[in-house]
Amino acid sequence: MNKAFAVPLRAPATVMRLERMGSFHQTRLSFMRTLLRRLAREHWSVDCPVWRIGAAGEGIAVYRARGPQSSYSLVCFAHHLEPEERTDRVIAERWDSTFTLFDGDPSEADLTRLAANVPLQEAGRCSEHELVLARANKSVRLFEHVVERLAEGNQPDTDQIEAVGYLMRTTAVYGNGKFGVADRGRLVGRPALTGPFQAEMLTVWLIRAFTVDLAESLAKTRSPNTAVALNDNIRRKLGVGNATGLGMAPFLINHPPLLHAWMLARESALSRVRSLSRAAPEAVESFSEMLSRAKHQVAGWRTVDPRQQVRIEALALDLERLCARIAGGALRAKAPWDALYRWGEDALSLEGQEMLVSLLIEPHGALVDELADTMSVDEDASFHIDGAMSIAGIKDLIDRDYAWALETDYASAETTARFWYVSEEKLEPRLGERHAEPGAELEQPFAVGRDIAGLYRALSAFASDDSLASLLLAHPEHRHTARRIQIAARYPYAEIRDNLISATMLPIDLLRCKLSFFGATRFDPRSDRWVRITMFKDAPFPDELGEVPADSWAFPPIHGDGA
Amino acid sequence: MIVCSLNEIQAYGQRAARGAGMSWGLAQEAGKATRWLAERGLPGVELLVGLLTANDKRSYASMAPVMADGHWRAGDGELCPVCSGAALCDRIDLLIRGEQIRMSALAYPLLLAPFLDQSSRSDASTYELCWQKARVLVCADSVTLEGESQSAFLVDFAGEVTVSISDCPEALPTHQFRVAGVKTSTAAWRAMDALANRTYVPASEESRALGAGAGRIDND
Repeated sequence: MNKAFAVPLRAPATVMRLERMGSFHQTRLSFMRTLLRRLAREHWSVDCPVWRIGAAGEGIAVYRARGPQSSYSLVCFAHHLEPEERTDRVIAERWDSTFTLFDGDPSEADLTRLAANVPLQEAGRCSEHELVLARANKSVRLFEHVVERLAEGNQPDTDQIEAVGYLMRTTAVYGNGKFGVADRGRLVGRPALTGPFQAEMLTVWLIRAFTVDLAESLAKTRSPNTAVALNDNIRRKLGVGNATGLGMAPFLINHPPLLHAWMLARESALSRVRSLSRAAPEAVESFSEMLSRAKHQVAGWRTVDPRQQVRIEALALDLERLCARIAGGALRAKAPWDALYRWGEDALSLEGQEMLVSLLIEPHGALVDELADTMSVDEDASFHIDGAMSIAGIKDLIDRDYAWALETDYASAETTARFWYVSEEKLEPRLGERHAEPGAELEQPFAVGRDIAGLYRALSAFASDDSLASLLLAHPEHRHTARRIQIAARYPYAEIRDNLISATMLPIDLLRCKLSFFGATRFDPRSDRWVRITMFKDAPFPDELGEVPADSWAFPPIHGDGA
Repeated sequence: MIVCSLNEIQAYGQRAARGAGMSWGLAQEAGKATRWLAERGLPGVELLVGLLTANDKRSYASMAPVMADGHWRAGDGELCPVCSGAALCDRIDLLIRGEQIRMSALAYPLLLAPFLDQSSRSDASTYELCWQKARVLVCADSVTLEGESQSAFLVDFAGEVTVSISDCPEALPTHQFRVAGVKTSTAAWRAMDALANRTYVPASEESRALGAGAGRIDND
């Protein structure tokens, strides 16, 4: 047996810090990878039953993905957009393309209904037959370059392809009941889409195919006699871009049991690998291959953000150190993966440590892939508050799980600098400056640390054997906090252990963590509160799902040959 | 008529309850309760909007339960079913011990039912709510309404309501719950939206720039 001892999970106090969460990279358990592994395993096929895109590049197209049980159709609307209308902000009202993922095969009547609503996005109305609502804007520079080259009969410049990485970027992908689309409950019993964000990931993967087909079609229209299709290896370098801002940030705060499930799966995978008493030769080989691919990938990671640039440079050095360590025989030792991880704790930056986590997990699919099935939870089950718990019991839980929250002095302007609110304009979460802007009285309940400290103070007015029920009857303002405490008691990775209203808090750390679970790469922060990323870059396209390895793309092959 | 998703109903229910002055924790309960009713084909949105409109600007102390020997009444006026439901959930051990709780002057009594479901999920008991000509049984996800007519359940006020654990001799029918597409009256949805609107912060150019931190045009 290759399992001699069990390395414990990393402690929540170590893992659940924003700085570390903001250094996460994709892993085998990321949702894009889970999706494509399944689609390949189940031999899904994708066709394009409708293509009514005119010479000007406007019209409608439908992509249908068919699996063993169900089929889903991406309905695409291509529009004309003036340059001054092209904004990635959620406040935009028009886009280059708009999309919905339809449950099944849409009829002409469905397409007519969707054409009247989907292009309007939030201002339209979807029904329970739609699973996802999304839109995307072109990368104008690259899109035009690709169309121009293809029209001439040439392939696009790969440096430009690598520099941008996508033809379009999505600016919102809405699911789970938003704007009238189906609730997740509709997907119960359909394993392909019940995992977290699988419908959204399927949507983005199909959008990627549409962006290339659109560019090829426009090239053909421009020059029917000379136009060529994109070379498969170049095509695979194109992902879908995404611009994500504060709208996504509260998700991890609003779903503590789900955050726990994601983290627990990732940490369990790491622990299983670290617990191996020796490194199997094929795992060593795979690890070394992925390590060199990662080096190549990091070398091509571009950002305009000075802070991230410094981190990428440090990560590149980290990977050099890691290579030297491996060359020095680190994997020949006993319990080599654990030793390597522990070495990394001292030797590497946080970016480097978390890249090492991804790399350690990577060669061990047989050991860890099943954990992907544990990443959904029934959040209803943890909603109920145990009011019979004593005041002493609650105090013990706070002392145990929230010491970090009690250490902060919330009387200073710095520690309470921000407040989270929902903007009236677009109903989106925003971050305000508490001491400079109006609206703090409408604060959302994300000041977890401060609220914990407030509840802790309130406990002193009650006897230790009083019940939580009596406190909550007298002080309903502490109810949401009491619920969090009881959830965190059961789910140790449920809570981010940092002050979410501090002047030094970086919202992009929240975004990076969530997007890494999606499987995003090439994080390119555009400020402290929004980030551009790439999704599905280097992944197989629908027409090559059975031919190209479905799961080796996240650390892409250096020569782009799909091997 | 507008067709809403359950998620929208819960999210807007929570926002509306917050907009009407409830604490965040109680607003979460209100959103959840509204969804629970809607999921079972009952007019949760309409009931919640009725309650929030009636209780708008009332203080928590006036509508929360004051308890004495198993008898609950409001501090002043009608008892709020969300405040009472939450308090009942927190004290479910009373019912489990076999005590009966009497509530006087309870507004929108059907809104109490979802709170009993929360408890029956954890202890698999059946709970019984009775008022005037209505009897409601709640057991692990299923709800049974017994009474003269639908309107008996949808009353906006009950003079006296009793809550207790029930023996529930025969198994309750299981319901096929809606998973999407809840038909909701447009007027009720608008009223809920208007209450939810109170929780939003109006935008200024300054907050647009500071709050989202992005540029205006992205043509690269």
